[in-house]
Amino acid sequence: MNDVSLNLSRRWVLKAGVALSGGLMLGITYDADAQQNTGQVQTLTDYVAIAPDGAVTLMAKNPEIGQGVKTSLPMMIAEEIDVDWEKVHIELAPIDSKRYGSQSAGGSTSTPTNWMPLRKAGAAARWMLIEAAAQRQGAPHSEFSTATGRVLHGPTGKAYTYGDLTVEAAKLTPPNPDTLVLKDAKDFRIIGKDHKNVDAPAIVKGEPIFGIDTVVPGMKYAIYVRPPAFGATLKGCDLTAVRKAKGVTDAFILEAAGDMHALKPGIAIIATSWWYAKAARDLLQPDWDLTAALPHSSDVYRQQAAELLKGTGEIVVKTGDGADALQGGSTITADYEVPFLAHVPMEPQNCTAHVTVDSAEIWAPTQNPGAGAGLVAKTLGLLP
Amino acid sequence: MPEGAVITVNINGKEHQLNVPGDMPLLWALRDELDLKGTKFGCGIAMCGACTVHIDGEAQRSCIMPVGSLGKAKVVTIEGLDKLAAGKALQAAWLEHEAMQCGYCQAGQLMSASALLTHTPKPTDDDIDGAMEGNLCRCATYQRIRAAIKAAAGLPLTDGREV
Repeated sequence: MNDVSLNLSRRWVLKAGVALSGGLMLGITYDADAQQNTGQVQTLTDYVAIAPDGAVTLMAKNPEIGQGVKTSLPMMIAEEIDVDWEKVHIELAPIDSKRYGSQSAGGSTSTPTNWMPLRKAGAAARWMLIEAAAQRQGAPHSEFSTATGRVLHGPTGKAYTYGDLTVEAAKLTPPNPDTLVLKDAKDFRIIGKDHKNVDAPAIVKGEPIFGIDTVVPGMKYAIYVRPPAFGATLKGCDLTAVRKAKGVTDAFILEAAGDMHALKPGIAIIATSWWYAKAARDLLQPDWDLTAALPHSSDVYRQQAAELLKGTGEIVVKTGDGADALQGGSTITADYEVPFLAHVPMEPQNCTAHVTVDSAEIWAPTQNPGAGAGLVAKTLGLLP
Repeated sequence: MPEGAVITVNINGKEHQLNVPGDMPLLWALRDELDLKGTKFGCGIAMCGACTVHIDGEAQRSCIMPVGSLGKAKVVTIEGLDKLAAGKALQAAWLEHEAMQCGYCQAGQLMSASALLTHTPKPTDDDIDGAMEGNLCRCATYQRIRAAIKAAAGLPLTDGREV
């Protein structure tokens, strides 16, 4: 794996220095203040950049939450570009549905839904590299093939490395992916082979790759004190002691944002470290109005379920005749109850935000970053 | 510990001066004061093991360890793990046996495992279970973690248990 930190091009609109230090990049900046293209790394497509030394940077489009897609999705791209996996460097993509489509983790959908699109993304980059060689040599595209990081011209035996072609390839317009011929599965060299988690070397060294590890210079730490139950509202809370607590820079009441998915009422405590905010939270004695929350208790849900079960259910699928088949057998009766289950990931819910007058950059461990970006934009009155 | 006093801590062989209350847990001194983000916040009540560090060679939960109570104790975090022979061997075994999925718990797993192997270079299955039972893994890679510990210890990887 190539560990060299690459200068990303303007087309990716990434604040590279910050993005690489944090976890999943949820929102992108709305102004294009990304680093200038240094000429070192050439962006071929939204997924593929190649440096003159042949190092390949691929975008991993979906959230990595331990399921391995930061490794497996780029494997699909790399296979079709026809490169050496050892030369591939992987970046987590910013959230941008125009370039990357749906970017979420859930329902085991990442691999099946991205299988063909990502192979085509790799094939598009391969096409551009071949086309660059064809144009340089003045020979037809069809006379060229590739072999692990090189474009070969059949009739003359000439070979060009991808690094050598990257500047010219990056100037070409990516082809229509649906016109490309993909590899035959029997020729796969990367897909179907065991490749290790690309983040593993960083993980065993404790490198700050998680959302909670994000640091923005001068940042403060906030604790949001939520209602104790869905629908509860805040009647009041004396913030005098909290505001005087060590390390606390501000504390205030939050109004609900209205939207049921958005901010709930509560209290925000801002401090110079998370611990100071947490210690101050322990001083709070909020007065919650639980009236609206009462219909949302487990007991109420259990009673509602029991009532509903007394009625006749809707038949969704009926195969064979169960009642008939069970004739003559013994009957065992049991009641099962399943509570609401939290995913309880080891990483606590957290989020880092860098908000300016007209932009918000968010780092958060989340399965559904696009929805989060939209909600942040709506709440802050920013253009998504 | 009086307000405003400076606390000196020894982390990974280096002394640091901290101007924090003595009841601040070591975890937060590491993460927010010293910018050592490798030690992870999981539960905050010593139930998950994600925040495990070594204090004078013993695996301890940094989330409940007041920084003012450390005295002259030497703290080793995941960032200093490769300075320990057992730590280096475990990191290599972790990679070889792919002990991590999301990785969030793994700094704590490695710190518990390295304290074990430092004290007990050839642990039994019971030794391993005893040392590791306080470290939760939400991805449930326990079998691979156990295999990696055995590999680092130079033990056969055979594991007769079901889980």
